[in-house]
Amino acid sequence: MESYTKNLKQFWSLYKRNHAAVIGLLLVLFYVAVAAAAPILAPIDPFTTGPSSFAPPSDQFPMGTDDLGRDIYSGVLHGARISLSIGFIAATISYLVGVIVGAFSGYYGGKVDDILMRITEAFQVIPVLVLALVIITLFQPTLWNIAFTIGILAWPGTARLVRAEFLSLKQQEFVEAARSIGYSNMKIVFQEILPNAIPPAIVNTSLQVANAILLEAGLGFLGLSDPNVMSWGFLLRNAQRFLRHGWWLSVFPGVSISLVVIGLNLVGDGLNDALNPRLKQR
Amino acid sequence: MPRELWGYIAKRALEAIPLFFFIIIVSFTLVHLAPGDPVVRMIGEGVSISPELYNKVRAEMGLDRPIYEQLLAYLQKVIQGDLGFSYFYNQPVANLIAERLLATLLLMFTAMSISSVIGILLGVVSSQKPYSKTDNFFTTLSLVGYSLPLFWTGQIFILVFAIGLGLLPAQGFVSLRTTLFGFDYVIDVLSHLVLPASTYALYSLALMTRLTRASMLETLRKDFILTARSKGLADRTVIFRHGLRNALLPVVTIMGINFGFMLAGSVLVETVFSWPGLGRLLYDAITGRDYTTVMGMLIIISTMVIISNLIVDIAYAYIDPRISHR
Repeated sequence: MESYTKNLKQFWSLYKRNHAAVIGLLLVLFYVAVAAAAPILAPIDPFTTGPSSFAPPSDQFPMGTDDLGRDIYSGVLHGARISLSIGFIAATISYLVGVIVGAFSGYYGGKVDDILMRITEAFQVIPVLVLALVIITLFQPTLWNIAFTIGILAWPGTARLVRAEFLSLKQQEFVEAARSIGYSNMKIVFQEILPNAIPPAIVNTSLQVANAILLEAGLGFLGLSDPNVMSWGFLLRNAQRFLRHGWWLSVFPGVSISLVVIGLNLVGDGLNDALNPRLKQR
Repeated sequence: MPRELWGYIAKRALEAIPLFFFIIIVSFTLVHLAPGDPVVRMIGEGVSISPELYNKVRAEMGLDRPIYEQLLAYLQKVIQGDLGFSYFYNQPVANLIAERLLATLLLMFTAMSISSVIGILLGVVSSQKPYSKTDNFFTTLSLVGYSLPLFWTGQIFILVFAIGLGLLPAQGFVSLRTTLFGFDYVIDVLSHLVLPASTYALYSLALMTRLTRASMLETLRKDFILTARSKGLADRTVIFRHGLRNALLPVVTIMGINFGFMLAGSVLVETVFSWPGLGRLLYDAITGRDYTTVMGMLIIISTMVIISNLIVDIAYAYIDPRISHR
């Protein structure tokens, strides 16, 4: 445990050298806080209609109102909850599937590897956005369907990464040692190799959350968002219909998505640099 | 072309065939797994269905036959180029797609050529002094570039350049209510092309810059670069003749993958700009719950991605003969 905190400290000192990555982390934390506190910061339900439609930003409506007089500020804050939740759930699902496929593929090799990698390739061919559109149109856009679909389509990248790690790790001495004292394959895969294969996959995860948020926004923009909850994609779909009536309908939700995604991508880059410090020291 | 290359092309082409079948099977499975009546689904929920039409489509789908026979019949139809009939548009889906293909390709190739040239150039500039001010500037800029939602960039372009400044048309392919010919027509289409192509190009430019930079850094570290430098060759020769030529190999692969992303992204960009291409067709089909067209589009778009990957693989082997010997 002590060495674990020491490693973490060392990692942080490497990470914070990259100022952009620190800014990214702050951006992400800011939005997580906003999402958590949305009901307090914006007590009005984002679907509540009001008498003043297309009101520009003012003290009463910091981000203006839309065609039905709904408060955009409230929409953006409550939308953060949905977008971030979908991002994290989808990334978790894709992470789990990717790790399992990658681990078995890399560890067992041979036929198992051939078959699993063929499936992975096949999944990489179909553009994720198009397949997600088809699935969600067929199965109805509920929150869970959206998160699950994005997660189940985004795993091939993780699988390839984890597989590559397993291929090199399984030949090392500690695996040989574990085998010689009679550990089962399952125990070797999950207890011995996996903890070592996780860091590279973690970097990928922050990018996956970013992609999932972008994908959710895109689906919402095309009309495939859960009608019962407010999301950023929904706000931008509405903005598209009324571009000529008010810039604020588009600008505020769009800036929010962009900042979160920029933050997550910066964090991804920072983690990558901190894990491979030699690239930067040259 | 050398013989090994032909062998390699044949091998890659054979490997692409199972992928094609996989896509057809996926789309068949989805239609049959989804809740609701598949007959109503294939006709489309936006169409009023007479009992005659219902029975006709039901018979065509062969729903009372065993499932594997249905799948075989479906495979056979798709391979013959029959993607079904859209009752929503009252046209065969293959015709609908053929009509829209040109607009999408025009948009994508315009954007890809602009972004490839500028992106590769910026990537080379960035890689010259890694982690310098210039490099950090371009690296951050490109990160921002691919973090922005594609369709939102489009909305902002419309707000600024079309609605705000009134410089360019906001939407469509040509101006409505005018009949232009020859040169005037071309100019009109081009003015409509500027905003959607820039939206696309911004995104792909960011990716190209980042990838070229990474690839250049990798290449410039190699021994043959050191050799070239120690021979006393000019910096420019080393960077472009020796460095970039090798660094471009992975970039070519990425351009192929990028093609798939952009094709999928066309549904977003073309919706923002009402560009009458494949993406807009997919959007309209989804909005109208016209599943026959949606499925046809899934198959066509995936097939285009498979073919573009194949072309990239072959180009790669042509540029780098070592590949076909593996």
